[in-house]
Amino acid sequence: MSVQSLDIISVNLWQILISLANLLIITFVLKRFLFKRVQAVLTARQEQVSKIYGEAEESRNAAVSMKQEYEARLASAREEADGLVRTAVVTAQRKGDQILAEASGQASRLKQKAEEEIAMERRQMLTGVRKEISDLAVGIASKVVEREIQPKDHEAFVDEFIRNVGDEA
Amino acid sequence: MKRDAKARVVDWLLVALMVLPFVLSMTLKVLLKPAGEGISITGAQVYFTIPMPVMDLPITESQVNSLMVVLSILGLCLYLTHGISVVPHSKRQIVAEWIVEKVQNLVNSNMGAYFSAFAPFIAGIMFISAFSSLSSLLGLFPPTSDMNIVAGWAILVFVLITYYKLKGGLFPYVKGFFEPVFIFAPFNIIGEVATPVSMSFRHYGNVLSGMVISTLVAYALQTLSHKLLGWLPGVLGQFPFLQVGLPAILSLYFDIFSGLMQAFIFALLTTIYISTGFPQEEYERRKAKRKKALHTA
Repeated sequence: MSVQSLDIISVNLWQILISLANLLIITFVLKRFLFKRVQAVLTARQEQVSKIYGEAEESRNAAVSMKQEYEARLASAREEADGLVRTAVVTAQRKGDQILAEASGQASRLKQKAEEEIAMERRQMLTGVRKEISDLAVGIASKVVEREIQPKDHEAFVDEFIRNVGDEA
Repeated sequence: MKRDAKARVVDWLLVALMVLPFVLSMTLKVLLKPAGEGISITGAQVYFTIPMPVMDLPITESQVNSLMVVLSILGLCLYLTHGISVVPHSKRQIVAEWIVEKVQNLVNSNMGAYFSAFAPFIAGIMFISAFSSLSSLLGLFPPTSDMNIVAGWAILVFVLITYYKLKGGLFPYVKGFFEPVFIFAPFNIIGEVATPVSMSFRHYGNVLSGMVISTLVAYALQTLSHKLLGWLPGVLGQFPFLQVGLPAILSLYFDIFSGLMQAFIFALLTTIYISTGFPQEEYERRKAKRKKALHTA
């Protein structure tokens, strides 16, 4: 079998055209099966990444605003609590003062009433005692000087005497 | 789990599509190429010839191999992008993304945003050239050492260069040949035509010369081995001991480094020639003018 070979330098139009077509086919193959696919994936990934970044930024903003809101709310709550305590203290003080004042007023009123009662009782007692003493004295005196002494004359005298005694007592 | 198994089967099929063309090509070579005596530095072996108008088309090793390269690259692309997802979970997806991003960056930085759609073409040049050159590692005839193959690519590049030059208008393109004075016209035309010729000769010459040097060195070492160690008894005397080592290092340079380098150079030159040939300002000016005329009409 004789081996037929080309010369080292040989030019053949058809071979050149076939080679040219091969390069075009390879270009098409790379474009269709490598570049388009990979670039589609790359763009999809880019979109996904930017989407994730956007979401992260959004949630971070939301968290920051929520935090601010909480802080504001906390501060207002604290203020409110302070106000409540203050008003409670003031009210309690006022109420205490009022109660104290009422109590002292009542006490003084009671004391006054008691004093009045005591004074009245003393007066009544004194009147009773005076009358009894005068009756007693008149009785004794009438018994002692039954005849000579006119009850009418001596009553005034005894009364005067007792009044003096009562005043002295 | 079932889907997993299905995906794995598809993976294996795609790897087979990637590898089998080269196996087929090697089988063809083993079957059809008789073991040669001595050394012979020739072009690609002709398997058969198809009669065509103008000139017959010989189907050669390089034709078959470049077809196999195309199939293999198709398999590689399908394998790399099989099961691709937004969240990467395979190494090959990372490789695929790396390739796409690197080529896209190269094209964008060398050619500008206007030519960003050129990335698959540039990647195609790199892949087809690198695969063709590296097929010599498998003992195949590298298609890039056949001038017709590389000339086809260079002519396509030349067509693209001219197409983008003409975007600035026919008159400026023709006028460009008469600059700075009209006497320079022949030289300018030669310079224009020299672009594809130099591109194809550079690439093809590099790969071919590597092949020639490798063959010569291997032959020389074989001869030297026979002369120096021929006194050894029996099979030992016949065995070319000196051929062990040095050819491997040469192959490392000529087949791998030089092959990849030429692929890169060819792609880079393509980007530079097309983008520098394109008169962007002129093109934009004309476009704006046409738009204005359309508005006034």
